[in-house]
Amino acid sequence: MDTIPDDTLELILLHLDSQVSLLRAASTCKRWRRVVAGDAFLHRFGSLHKLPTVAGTYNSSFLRVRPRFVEPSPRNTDVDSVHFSLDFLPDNGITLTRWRINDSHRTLLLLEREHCNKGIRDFIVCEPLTRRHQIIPPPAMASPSYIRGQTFLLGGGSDGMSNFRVLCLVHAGGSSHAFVFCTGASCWRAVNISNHERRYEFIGFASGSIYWHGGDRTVLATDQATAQFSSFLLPHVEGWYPFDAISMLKITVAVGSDGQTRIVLGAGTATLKVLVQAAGGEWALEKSIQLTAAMLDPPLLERRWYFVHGVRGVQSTGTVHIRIHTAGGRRKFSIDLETMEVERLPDMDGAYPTKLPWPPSLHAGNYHA
Amino acid sequence: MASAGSGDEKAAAAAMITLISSDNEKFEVTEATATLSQTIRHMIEDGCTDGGVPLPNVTSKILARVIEYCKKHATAAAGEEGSSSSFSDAAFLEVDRAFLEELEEFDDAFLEVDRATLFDLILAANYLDIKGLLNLTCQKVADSVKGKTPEQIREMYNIVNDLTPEEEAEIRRETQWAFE
Repeated sequence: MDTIPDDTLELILLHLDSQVSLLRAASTCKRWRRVVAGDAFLHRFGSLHKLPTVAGTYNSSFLRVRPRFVEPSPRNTDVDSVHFSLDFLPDNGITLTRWRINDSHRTLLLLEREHCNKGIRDFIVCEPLTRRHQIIPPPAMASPSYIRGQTFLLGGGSDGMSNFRVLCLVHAGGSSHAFVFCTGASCWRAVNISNHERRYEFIGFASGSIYWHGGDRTVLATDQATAQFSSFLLPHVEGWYPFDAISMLKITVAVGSDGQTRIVLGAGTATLKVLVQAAGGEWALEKSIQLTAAMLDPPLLERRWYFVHGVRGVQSTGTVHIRIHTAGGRRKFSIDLETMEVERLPDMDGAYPTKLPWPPSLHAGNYHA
Repeated sequence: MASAGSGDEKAAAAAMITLISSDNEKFEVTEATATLSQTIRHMIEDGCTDGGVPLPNVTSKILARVIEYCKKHATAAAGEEGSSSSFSDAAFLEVDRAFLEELEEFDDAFLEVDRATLFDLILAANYLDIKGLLNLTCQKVADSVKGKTPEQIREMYNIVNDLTPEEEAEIRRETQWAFE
């Protein structure tokens, strides 16, 4: 092995089957560790193996047990699932704690703890693989008017617990307030929202932004990198009534093959209206997709009773999720906006994906470039 | 013109090249076999193969194995070119599949060598720039490493552990999940 030059050793290590094998190989000696820690090598290995790998998902039930890790079948990684257990999270000696996952980002999870009787809640950001966590009290003003499920992990680096940000949207006194909590900070920082005199509901993630609907034709977007808010107005769309309570459950986002965000509305008679931003900045109708009985089997109970919605924890792609109510109960589908391909989805609440850390932590020994 | 062209190709296919190993043994191979090596291909293109190609980094033992690989795969490459021309019926594909299977079996048998030879083959493939052989041999080493602990890898390849106990402890702390 000593006769093998570094660039050939690199080639051998590129052929390893997984990230776990790579980490083990990187722990045999200084030379191997140095080769693996090279930026160019990690870049090549990452793109060759399509990393980071999604190791599994956490379900988001609001129960008195910690959310459970669910492995895909067949497994994506050779990491033992015990390493994804949340048993290390403290419950503060309160047995009446309910747990909910609010968001996941790469290796991190954002959980919410609530005392069943007293209604005291706080947040925990944790990294299951390294069994590290940080408890975050809610924003000071939030308690009386806290909106559930409006807290997010903003995209950040790959440094796990040493670099994260949490965004919390709070509704109080007829207006919305946004707060950001950064690693190492001791309190939340208020962030300005344009058009804040309304209540916003999450409608999806797309192209690096979080989108909210403001109840009429207003949509709010947060850039996940900068935590800056901007808002825009949707055009009048036939069959979609912005103040109708049901129409409010029929709005989400998707991403076209051009990488641009689409706003997707569910108009009255089972029609999806796809909007895109024109060159001038205003939003306009791009196309309409009629949902037919052939697409949604079993067919709709009533043409109104379908919902389009964003998925928590997952960036939107070219598909839109549709939930329908039929004589047989609830059904979930996804529909591809370009090919119109329909896929039946399991009827379960949001599953939050968790990934293996990539690039891996190779700080030990200081070989990292 | 067309017949003259194909005549030239035939002549090229039959042209022989002499490869000379580090221990001065001479090997006569066809140009089609030799040009699986990008290094030799460039030498041929530059017209500097008269009187043989000296390969001071490759012993006769290893060069014989490398040539064995190249001969087999040069035939495979020629077969592929033939099949992609006009035939695509089922019978032809069947022949193709059988040939690929045979090639795979050949590769598997080819890799049944001791570790020292495997590394010599890697070095030769690297020096001669034979992509297929380099990938094949690197994959073989990578496969032998996967699923092994660092200690097992060191033992297998006589690697001296020069990480300090402190560094090892830190590695374990950072990425324990990868070791159990």
